[in-house]
Amino acid sequence: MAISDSTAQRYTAQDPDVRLMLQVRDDNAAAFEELMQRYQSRLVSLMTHLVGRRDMAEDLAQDVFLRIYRARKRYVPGSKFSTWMYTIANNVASNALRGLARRKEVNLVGRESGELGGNPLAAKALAASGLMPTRLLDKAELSEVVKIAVSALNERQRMAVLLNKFEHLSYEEIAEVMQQSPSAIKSLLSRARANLREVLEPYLEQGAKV
Amino acid sequence: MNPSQQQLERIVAYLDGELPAEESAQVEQQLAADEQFRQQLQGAERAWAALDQLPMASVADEFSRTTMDMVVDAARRKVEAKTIALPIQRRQRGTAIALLATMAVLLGAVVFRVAWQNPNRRLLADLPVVQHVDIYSQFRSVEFLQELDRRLSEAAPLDSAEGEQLQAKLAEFQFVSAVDNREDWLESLPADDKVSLRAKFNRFHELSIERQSELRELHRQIEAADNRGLLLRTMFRYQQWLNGLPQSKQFEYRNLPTSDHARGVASEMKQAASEHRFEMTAEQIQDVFRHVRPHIQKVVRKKQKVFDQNLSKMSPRERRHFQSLSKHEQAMRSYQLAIKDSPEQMREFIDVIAEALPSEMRDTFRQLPPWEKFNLSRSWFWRARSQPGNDRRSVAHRHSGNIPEQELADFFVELETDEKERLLALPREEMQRQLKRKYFGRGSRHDRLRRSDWDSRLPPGGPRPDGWRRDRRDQSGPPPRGLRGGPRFDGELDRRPPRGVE
Repeated sequence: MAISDSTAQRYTAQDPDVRLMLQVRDDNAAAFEELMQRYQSRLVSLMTHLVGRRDMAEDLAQDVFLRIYRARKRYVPGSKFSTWMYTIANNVASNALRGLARRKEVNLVGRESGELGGNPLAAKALAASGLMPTRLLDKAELSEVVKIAVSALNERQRMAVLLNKFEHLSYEEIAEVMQQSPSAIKSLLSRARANLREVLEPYLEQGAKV
Repeated sequence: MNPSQQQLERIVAYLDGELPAEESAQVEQQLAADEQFRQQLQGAERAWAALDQLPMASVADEFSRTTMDMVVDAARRKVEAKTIALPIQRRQRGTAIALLATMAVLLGAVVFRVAWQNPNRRLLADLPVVQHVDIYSQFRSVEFLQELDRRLSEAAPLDSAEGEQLQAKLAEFQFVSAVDNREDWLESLPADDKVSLRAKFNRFHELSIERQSELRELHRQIEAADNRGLLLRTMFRYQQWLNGLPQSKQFEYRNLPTSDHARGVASEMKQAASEHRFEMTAEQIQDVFRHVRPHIQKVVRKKQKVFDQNLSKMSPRERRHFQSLSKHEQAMRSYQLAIKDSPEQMREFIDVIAEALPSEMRDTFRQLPPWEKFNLSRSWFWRARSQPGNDRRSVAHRHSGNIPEQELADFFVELETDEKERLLALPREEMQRQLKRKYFGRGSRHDRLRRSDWDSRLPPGGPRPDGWRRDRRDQSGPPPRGLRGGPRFDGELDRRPPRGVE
């Protein structure tokens, strides 16, 4: 879809990252490095929670930056820079997850329904961790349980949750990143939250040691 | 979609702030009325908040280095591919446009590679954050600046000199934020500033990777804010004020929750701005006291007999000390003793001072509450007492806030007992700071809290009756040594004024 001049001007005025990206378009290496410095940790975090492996997450984040560099000459600001970057990240992560699923390196059976009972992975993981809800968890243990709860979400729910919670993207922006409608994102997030609550509630009721 | 799913969507959208105002109001009504609905919402909120426990990755410098290597490598391959293709393209198409486009890509890639070789590359990429690392480290979020700006703009507008200074800083911030300007700016820096920038760069890289990322994000948020000009002005004002604060106090503020942090800082900054109106140089104080001196001499002459009697009652040590003072200082001390128990004479003294003040200060001074007039007069008196011709105290030092320890100790001795006890209970650094503030006539928070008490005890328009007097407990001498936070008071016994002179 063509981006109008007024849209491009609006985003250029509002978003300092868009201004940096326009300088990257003009082959400014310092601007590229500044963008990278701003987003690298967040991107690696996002990828780590998406694919579950730190080494792979770093490779994928580097791939995202490389794609940004390669796409620089075609860049026209049609959204916030972060929205554009997470769209690339979403594509990169989806491809990687598909590849992993084909090679069966990880169990990526996601659930489209909100029923946790449909996903034996989560229940198994929780049982294996030994972190049973009957006792008080310390912070590290709670962090582990939360990690398991997030990894038990399906890929789309996980992506939407991470973008919403940690990148503070609105439903509309998440919809743009994931190429869906805002109402679909609304449903997706509510199902994701229901799933998270189902796994986490017993632990949260017990409370955590600090 | 079943009703429970619909309800959950509403709850989630409400929590995410994605509901229109009307629907939000409906949710709030339901929350107030429906216990089950409330529990459902709280459950969803708890689970969402638990995600904060998810560990976040931090990325070492190695990551950005290898990524940039990959990018530069991609650029190199592009150059090679285009270079190989160039003769073919020329032969096949023979068009100038294709040639130009190819050359542009080549040039871009080469520029990228050259920039990557720049030894200041890391500094340039983080320059605005590095340049402001000290102030960025003092607060956690842009909300702090928003809140501080709101509170400061209500009551402490900028004066024109301060405004100009901040404007210059703002211009520099904006200049350095633009990537293209950075190299030139760096080049134009004087050698001293380069050294200082290098130190900041080192400080920045001594921070944890997570903290570095937080500071970058803070900078990004400030840059993206609609009211960034205002926020930056507030930030620079805050920085200026912080410079006069001891490390321990800075630490204390940094660790407060955002709203408490902003409230505390705003309150102190407003107080400082109000005090600024009565700041005088040592020369100005001497001018004021040139006018006050005839009054002082008159009072001292009248009380001469009493002074002589009391001098003979002093211990030999006290007498030796008193006699070692300059004539000027002897007169000033005698005057101080003469008025210390007389509210009427104190009021007269304050009136004489008010009359002698520079015209632009006089009316404002007269409108101050008595306790504040007293604080200021006492401070000016102290600063004038040892001048001129006293080589122990440097005027320049005093004006810069670098008061000789002995003078501060003297000043401390003459404070009231409860005030001394309060100061002694503070950490040493904070005690010194508050004592200096008092010395310069600046009220502490404690003074402000007590102002109604003071005002009620003062005669109308006059200072508090026991303004300079030390009570019986004080007669025993200096504050105890070795107390936590106490300053050193070497030889303070000798410095106390003679006792019992009326």
